Amino acid sequence: MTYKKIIYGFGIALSFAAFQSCNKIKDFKDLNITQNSTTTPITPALLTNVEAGMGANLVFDAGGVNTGAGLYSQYYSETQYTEVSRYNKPTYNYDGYFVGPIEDLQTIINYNSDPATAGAAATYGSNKNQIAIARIIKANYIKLLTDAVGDIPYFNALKGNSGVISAPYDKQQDIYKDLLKELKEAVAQFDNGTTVQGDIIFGGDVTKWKKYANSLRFLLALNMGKVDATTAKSEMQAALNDPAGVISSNSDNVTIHYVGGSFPNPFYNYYVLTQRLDYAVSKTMTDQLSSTGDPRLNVYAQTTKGFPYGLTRDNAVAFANANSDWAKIFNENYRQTNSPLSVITAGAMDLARAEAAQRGLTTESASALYAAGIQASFDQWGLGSAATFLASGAIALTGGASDLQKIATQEWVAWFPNGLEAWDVWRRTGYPTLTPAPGLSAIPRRVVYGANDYAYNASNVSDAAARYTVNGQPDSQYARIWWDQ
Amino acid sequence: MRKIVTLLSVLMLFCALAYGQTRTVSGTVRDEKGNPIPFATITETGTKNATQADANGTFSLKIGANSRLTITATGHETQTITPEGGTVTVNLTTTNSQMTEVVVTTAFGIKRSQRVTPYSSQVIGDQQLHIIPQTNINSALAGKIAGVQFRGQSPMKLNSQGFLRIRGGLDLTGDVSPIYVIDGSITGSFDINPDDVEDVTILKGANATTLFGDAAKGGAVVITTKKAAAGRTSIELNEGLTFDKVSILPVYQNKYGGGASADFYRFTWQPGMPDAWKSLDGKYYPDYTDDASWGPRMVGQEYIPWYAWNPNNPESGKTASWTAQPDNARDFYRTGITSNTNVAFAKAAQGSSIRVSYTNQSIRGMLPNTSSYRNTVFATFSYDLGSHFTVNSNLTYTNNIINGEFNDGYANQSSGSFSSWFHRDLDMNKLKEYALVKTPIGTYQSWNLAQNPGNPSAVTGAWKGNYWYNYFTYFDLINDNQNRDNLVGNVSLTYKVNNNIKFTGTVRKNNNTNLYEYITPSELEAGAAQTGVKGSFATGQQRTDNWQYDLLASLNKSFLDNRLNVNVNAGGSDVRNRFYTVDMSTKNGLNVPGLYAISNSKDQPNLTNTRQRVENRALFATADLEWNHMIDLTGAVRNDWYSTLLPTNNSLLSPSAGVSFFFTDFTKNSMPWLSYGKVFGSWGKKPTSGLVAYQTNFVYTINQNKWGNNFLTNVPNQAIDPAIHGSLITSYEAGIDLKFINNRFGLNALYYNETSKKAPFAVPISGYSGFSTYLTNISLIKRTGIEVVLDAHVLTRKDFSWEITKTFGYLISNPVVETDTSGTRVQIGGGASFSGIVPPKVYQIPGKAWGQLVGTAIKRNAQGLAEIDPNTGAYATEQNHDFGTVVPKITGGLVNTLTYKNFVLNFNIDYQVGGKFFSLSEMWGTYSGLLAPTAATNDKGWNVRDDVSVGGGVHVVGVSSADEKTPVDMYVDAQTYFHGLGGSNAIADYFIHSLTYIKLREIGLGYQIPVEKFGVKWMKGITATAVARNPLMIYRETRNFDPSEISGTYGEDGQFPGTRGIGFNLKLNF
Repeated sequence: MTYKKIIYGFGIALSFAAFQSCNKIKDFKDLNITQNSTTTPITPALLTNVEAGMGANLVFDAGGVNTGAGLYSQYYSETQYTEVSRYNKPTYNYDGYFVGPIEDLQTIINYNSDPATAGAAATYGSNKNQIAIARIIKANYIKLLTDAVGDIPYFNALKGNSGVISAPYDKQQDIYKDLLKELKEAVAQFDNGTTVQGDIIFGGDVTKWKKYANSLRFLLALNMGKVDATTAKSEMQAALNDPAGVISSNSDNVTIHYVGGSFPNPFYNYYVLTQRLDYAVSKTMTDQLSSTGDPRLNVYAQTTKGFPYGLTRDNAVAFANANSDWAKIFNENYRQTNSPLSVITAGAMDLARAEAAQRGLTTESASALYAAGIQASFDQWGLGSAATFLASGAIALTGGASDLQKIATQEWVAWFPNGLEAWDVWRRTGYPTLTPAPGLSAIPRRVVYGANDYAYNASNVSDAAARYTVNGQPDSQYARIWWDQ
Repeated sequence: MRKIVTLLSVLMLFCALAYGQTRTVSGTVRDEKGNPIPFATITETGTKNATQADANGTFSLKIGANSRLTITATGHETQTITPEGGTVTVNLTTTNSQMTEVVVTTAFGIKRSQRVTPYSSQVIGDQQLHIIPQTNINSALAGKIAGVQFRGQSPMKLNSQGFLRIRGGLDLTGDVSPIYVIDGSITGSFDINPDDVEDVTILKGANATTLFGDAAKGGAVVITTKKAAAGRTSIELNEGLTFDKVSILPVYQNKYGGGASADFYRFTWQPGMPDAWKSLDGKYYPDYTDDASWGPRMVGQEYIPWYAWNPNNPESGKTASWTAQPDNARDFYRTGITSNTNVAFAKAAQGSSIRVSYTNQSIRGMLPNTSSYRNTVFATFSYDLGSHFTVNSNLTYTNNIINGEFNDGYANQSSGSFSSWFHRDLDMNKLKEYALVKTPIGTYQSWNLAQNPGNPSAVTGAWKGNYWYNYFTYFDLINDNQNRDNLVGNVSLTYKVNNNIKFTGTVRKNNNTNLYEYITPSELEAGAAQTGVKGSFATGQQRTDNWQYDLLASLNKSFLDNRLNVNVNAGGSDVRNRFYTVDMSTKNGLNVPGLYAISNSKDQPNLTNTRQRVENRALFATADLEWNHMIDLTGAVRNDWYSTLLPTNNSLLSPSAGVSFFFTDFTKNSMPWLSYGKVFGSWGKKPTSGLVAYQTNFVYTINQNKWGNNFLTNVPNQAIDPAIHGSLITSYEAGIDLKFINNRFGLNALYYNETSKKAPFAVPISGYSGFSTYLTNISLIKRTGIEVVLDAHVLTRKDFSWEITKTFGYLISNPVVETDTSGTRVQIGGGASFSGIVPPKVYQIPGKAWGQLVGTAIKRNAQGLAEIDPNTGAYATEQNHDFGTVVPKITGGLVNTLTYKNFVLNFNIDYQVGGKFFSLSEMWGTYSGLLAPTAATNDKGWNVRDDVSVGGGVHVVGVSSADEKTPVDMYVDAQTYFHGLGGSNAIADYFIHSLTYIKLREIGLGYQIPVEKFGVKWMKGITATAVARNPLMIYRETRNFDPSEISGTYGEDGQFPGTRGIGFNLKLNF
């Protein structure tokens, strides 16, 4: 029968095809390689990405941990939903900083360190310089987080791509020790190799990076002043003695010069693009500035009418209704889409050095640095000579006991709008004198662990939370971190 | 692989067994109406030479020159004929309408008799499916299939199809939709035109869906389209018209109006304010800026309405009276009108058949400015090319244009306001009347003023919207549209060697293109204060382009004197999917207001594109052996290779096997009332590739925006397990299928047990690792349950009959046994968070049932009494309280068909018991003083909003949170109490409800006009039907929502209200 032959033929052909294709059938060649992205990390593009986010991540991000610090240090007031400024426990998931910028920085370090990839990475600048820059910015991020929270995963963090998905919370003193080492090594590591590309802050200027590193080192040491004065003193001295020194001129400021458009100034983004009005300059700040005749009032605040701090929702709404001209953060001229925003400035550094000197941690001249710091801060905003201001009774140092308060208060003013550094100043010195929100008795001294810590690192976080127990309540925002004693 | 070759060899062996005869007779077996009778047995009379007709009733058999044929079919009289010529049509008389063959359609269009399937395979026919004309295949199936929960959505949302949840959850990531297979081709539920559907088979477990592979992870909805009936030419015209109105809204309070406090503000005119406001000096107004309803009591007092502040308005400067508007939310929605016209031509002749249909559906949506226009062309034909080759094709082309915005999430500009943030005093007619009256600064006014007119600097603020627009302004202006084109279809060529063996090659295509344009007009930006809205234009295109190539060899042969019936199918398939997107949108506003072009973007526009390629290859074989109509063995095996898995481990083998035993022969003497009995059991596995294109790639994406000359990239946020692999779902099923008393009553009951193990999943991990998720193989999830289908011919009289089909699904257990080694709970869904307030979310928790609703609860002591702060009356709270699963325990339905003479009455009741949902809009509606409890009368007879000192306040009873035992019995100020529930605490107790309901979902009364009585010859029939959709909610546990239309896994956060529809349908047959 003919059909039988056909069937046999077809069957044999099918079986043959099946055998033949056995090896081929599982081979899809490059079908599953994406055409949309690259498998090689381009290190300067990672660096630009990190630096582009530094203003929002380290200084002002609505609803973020740095804004919380700005509320606790009473830079800002909440105008509608006054939860954080009334000390309800906030829910920040700042472990996202590790997923975003910190992992990007770690990738720059790894890619420049691994002999297999270092050669390719060197196309974009000296390996050592790329690594040093990444280490400095990473240290700044870790400083921000540990200063806010206390103990965080550090030594076993950033190992997700080798399968380590949960990490214990390391002690803040150990983290500080390592950060100081990292910064010291980073400064020493810079070579005279090719300029690092993608650096939108300093254009690869090695000296400026060294100043940034030394400044961070100085600030870390200053925080340690009460708990380990010996180390604090030696580290501060080392930072100051480094040939590059610390940031002492506004041209050395760690400043992000926004290009506008897709990369706007964070305050412009907040008020103009997202059109929210939740944050104002606090009355605490405007009172300080107006009572001393400080011209920075017209820079820091849209109007002179600061928003009273920590009102209940009803009172806040009532105030806003009666005072529609309450002060937005920054005068409009200073928060255009391309307005710059600084993380560390010469003025703040000078004043930090004045504080250190005043507290006997260094041997520098507190009064000289105080004057230099205020002048640098004025210069930063183009406000001319500070001589008259410096001579005024409320500002001039007297050599008496109130000098520390004056220095710390000016330091607090100069750090604006970097709320975390301001909160550090207050926690170190107790100044400026801040009154808790109405009806509440104490200002938080740390930020509690985030929801993600409890959801995804539950067993580790409970150990850490227990170290911050106040009145039987673990993970208390009123507990003090290691250096804040 | 070896197994497949073995099967192919077996196939060839069967081929060799075929032997010759002297004459071939082929034909079709039909009933008296001309419909094909599937799977009839055709025997050469007096011999044991026999064959079985296929699902379309066609057969061919070689017989002796003078032999006759005896045809037997279940439910029909046996007939013996003398075939004249080579082709015959046999018409059998129906003896028992309750006992006809049901055809189950499985993968690759393989049809089986339901009699032999060893797994759940419910089939819904034309009549049950079309009780009322449906625009949506999913809602047409609601309540009609055992173990299937329809999770609907208000028909207001014109681009929503709802969702079928089959047998609870089995996937860690959430619900997995079944696939929709139309004539063997996979497509989306969106592109199925219910008018062209003949029947639907629902396949659930792995044992039933093995041959579909990975695609049918969530089950399969297999659709057979209508085909031409033989020997006839027919023209059918079907016209339906349905009107929908809002029926179920939350229960609002109607005593207090808008604002933050119970007192009005007094307006004082000041220089610098518009002169038009002078007449309002000394009058009173509520706090317009606050979008809650904690305002003054509405007793008709004089006040200044929002529209009085616009000098361009005819009622500018005039006051109004502060009165309740109980129907304001309802008044916003229009009557929806759905018109559906279908015309179909069909003709079948010897060796060919064709059916062409055209459907036009146009919907005027219930939301203003929303509409949908859908045109569907459907064509199916089959043509015999000589005696061996048949060419076959099914094609559906759909164009669907959808206009309007259908956001039903938190803070959407309709339902997201009415039930969450709203003023109960607002008169919807005024909002409508003044929607397009501009203010002196060119903006459109909102009821929710950005600033109260308290001082001259707030004048322009009074002409902008704070959080909300005038809803009519918003919907009039917003202009979103989508234009979808979908082509799904196949062309196949069958080579029929003889009646027993055939080969079919099929090319399938599914092509979907969606071109969208979204316009947010500049006017909305101008009137915005805190809405964050910018004038914008977005456009783009998504294109899905799928090709599938199948090769199928089939053998159908009887052996050993017709006692052994063998059915073997084997073949291969190659599926190649491509997906492209091109999206662009303006950024941060427009340079020229009102010009909607990408080039008009204020900042560098967003421009993105993606493309994906996925391929899945498979070889498969299935065999079915039936012995003496007594025992049937089924086995299948499929091996898949996936491009999305790692090349080193991309193969998955999924076998299945089953057995059916028909025992009626042994019981017919002892139990004559048992007319049919079958027990069956089966086991099977189905593959889960679990990964999408490029998911195993660790790649760096380039940011579309540049910083000056610098480009940006970032490290991906997902770490990947280097050993990631696919997984298998295992199903066991056992059941009985019984029919009683001449098949008047039927019972099909089965038990299933399914397990999903080590499925690939992106586990959320602590960000300290540098990544937010880790893609690995975790989880063990099980589900067991019972499904029952009962059918009864309650009455069968000459003029009157009543048939019932009852479905019942009971989920015995659905535990998530483990998630990962550390026992981490995994979040799969949750309502919108707002301002740090976190509503309950749905988690997979090891050791608990699938889909646990977890949130903040009132803390209770050991006796279950609420713990209360005795000073403030505030509840103590317990974080992470587990409120139970979101999956109902019981689902089911009851379909009734009553016939009296020419009248047919159909109605369909469906129900579910258990399962929880959370309502975010109820939480905010309580916080905002909108819902009834916020203005209820307390047990002292005072309104809860009255001062506690006079007898008002909410009665709070419990124990002191300090010692957990001292009784607390006090009254708490209403606003404090309700803010305490809904604010930062987000106490979920009050806003979590049961999904239990009983609902009359649809009812249709049809009358078949007896045209022949009127002597009309050119017309075969007219059927007029009046229908109602959602006519009656018989029972529900929640007051505020329709629990059958909760769209989110967790619940809802602002979704559209429930609706009710009535309609008419006219069907003309020529």
